[in-house]
Amino acid sequence: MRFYLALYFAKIINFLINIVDKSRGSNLSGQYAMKIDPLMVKHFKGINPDKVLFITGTNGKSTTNNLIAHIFKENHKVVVSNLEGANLIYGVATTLSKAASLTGRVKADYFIFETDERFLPIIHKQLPAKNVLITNLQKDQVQRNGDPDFIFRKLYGKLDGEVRYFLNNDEPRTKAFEDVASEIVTYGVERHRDSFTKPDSFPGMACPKCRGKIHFNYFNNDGVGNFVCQDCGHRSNDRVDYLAENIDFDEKTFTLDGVKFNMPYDMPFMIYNYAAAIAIAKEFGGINISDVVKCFNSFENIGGRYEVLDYKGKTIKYMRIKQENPETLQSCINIMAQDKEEKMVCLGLCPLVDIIPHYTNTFYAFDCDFSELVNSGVERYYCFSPYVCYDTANRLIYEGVPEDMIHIRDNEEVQDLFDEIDQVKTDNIYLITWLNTWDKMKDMLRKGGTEDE
Amino acid sequence: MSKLKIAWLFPDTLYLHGERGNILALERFAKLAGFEPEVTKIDFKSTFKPLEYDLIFCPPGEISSFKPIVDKLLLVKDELKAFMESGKVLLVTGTSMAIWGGEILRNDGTRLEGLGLVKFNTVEKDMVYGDDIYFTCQYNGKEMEMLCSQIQMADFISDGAASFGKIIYGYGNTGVDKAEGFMVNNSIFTNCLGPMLVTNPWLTKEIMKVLGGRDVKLDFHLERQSFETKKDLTLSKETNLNN
Repeated sequence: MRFYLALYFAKIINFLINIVDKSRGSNLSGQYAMKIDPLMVKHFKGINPDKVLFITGTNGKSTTNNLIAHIFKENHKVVVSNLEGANLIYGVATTLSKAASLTGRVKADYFIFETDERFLPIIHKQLPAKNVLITNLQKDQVQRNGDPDFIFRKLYGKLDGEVRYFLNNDEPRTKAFEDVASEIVTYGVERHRDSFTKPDSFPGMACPKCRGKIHFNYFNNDGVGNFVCQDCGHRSNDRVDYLAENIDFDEKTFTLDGVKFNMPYDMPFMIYNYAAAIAIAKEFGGINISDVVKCFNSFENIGGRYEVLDYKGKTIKYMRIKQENPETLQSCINIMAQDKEEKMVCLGLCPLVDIIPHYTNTFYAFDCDFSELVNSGVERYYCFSPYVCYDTANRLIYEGVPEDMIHIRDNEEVQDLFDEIDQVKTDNIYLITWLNTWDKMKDMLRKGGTEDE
Repeated sequence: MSKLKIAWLFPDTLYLHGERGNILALERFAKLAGFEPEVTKIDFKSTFKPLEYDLIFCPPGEISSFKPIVDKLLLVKDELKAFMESGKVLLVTGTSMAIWGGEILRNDGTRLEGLGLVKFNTVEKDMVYGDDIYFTCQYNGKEMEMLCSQIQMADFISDGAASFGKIIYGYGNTGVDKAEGFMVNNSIFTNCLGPMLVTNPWLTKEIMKVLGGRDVKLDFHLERQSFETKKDLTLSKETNLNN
């Protein structure tokens, strides 16, 4: 009875939100409905755990979730998925409440959910998915997550029953789940043009199995690449079930099992998402690899990760990082370093304002290697954002950048940003900041340009 | 130019929070103080002789890593004690403080022993607490203010050890009083992340003096501006702390 009350309550909220603003409320109805029935997710009918997939990890889970759902839909599968990115149990409850009939039955071929890595075990207790994809478990949001092992311990061995894991072969913590899986499917990416190494002065990481030293032969992304533990031998498999090979960034293609794929999104991290999606499509969805090819061409990623803006004949290339996440910052640094044209680098590492208390962490920038960027032809650096701009500038100085090459502003005013861009000779502008500032820049141009126009 | 020998403990296991920056700061300031810095990474396979070094740096790591590290360092516990008593500088940051204290109580109920070189015990927390930390301290006879980040995975409960600093704002050792870190002779055990020697160079400068270097002449204008703007935020922000 509680379940039906919760379900009808959720459906009413969903209906009202749909009238007011369709883009909102991906958590809301589930959050309130689960006050009525805390086991609501468990009580939906018609869900076969064999057909349920959870996608979790530090980086890439939203994109991979969207990509997989797109592939399945393009191949005429009926999919229920939390595509709005609400990845706590309330988001799952909201999604299911939208898809369910008035009897609580959900009809779909597949249930594919992005799930927050901290809360996956809680969700799994109510919805015991038989399939879990882990993209990677890395340094991220230390104000909440502390360290990667804190998250690893919340997940490792905490899912009951038989679970088939889809594991990133090139990320040590993820790969360690091979020891608690009833079945594993591995995916990975071959060494490619943008693979890199780091100087010995950078720390490695602790082996999740023995706490010894993980050595990376190379990185495809920061913290992801061919690895081996020098103490216990934990390592990337030599044979990978789904390996993206022959990566060609000029042609924007790769091959997998001899099939050629276009990769419209050609960032190195995206190739892992592609490989994971192919593995899921084949093993979980029974979709032929050749039927995945066309889906990559029509896939549109979530906005705001990489965008371009034309401004007074200059090209502003915006890249979004996750705050407190050195891996995503390193990816952006590598992209800028690959570009040998003269450039301006605008770095808006921001204070952390997600939860109370706000604070001023920039230490993750010291986990990143700026040396290639510094030697790639930078006309000027612009460090901006309240409270942390000076620390950002100091990080560059510790990389050998002369202080007079760095302009600093203790704010994130869009007009100041445009003024700085006006001052440089180069038309090649890179910008890293949070989405809010980027949106304000676009708004300002849309509404009639900057003050001097 | 005399060598300044720096031991960097288990950098591939105690690898959190960009603390490599502290090594960069030590190298930079050592040169400015007239030393020739030499950094040696110590790992599980190294032969570690603490007394051969002028400064030992122990960065923060995951608590799961502490057992094998304690086991390795127990082999040289007496030398480490002598190192601290000699007035050389041991710098320990973040959760790795637990390695040097007494009992470590994990949040799963298990217990392990630290090295027992500093009189405090550790209690792992179920939740993470991340915030700025702003405190005063005295080092090498000089009063100074420090401002860092803190990612608190455990409480550090004094069993007689003296504090390193007095909290103006922040969680510190336990979140219930003003105690920040611990200090034994010239050795520092602190929650301060940043990396602290980059963002608080006035301390780095004093460490060089303790080690016999000449006075470092830098104006620290960038670090001062950083300190002041972060102080503004720290003293005006919404918080749940009441210590």
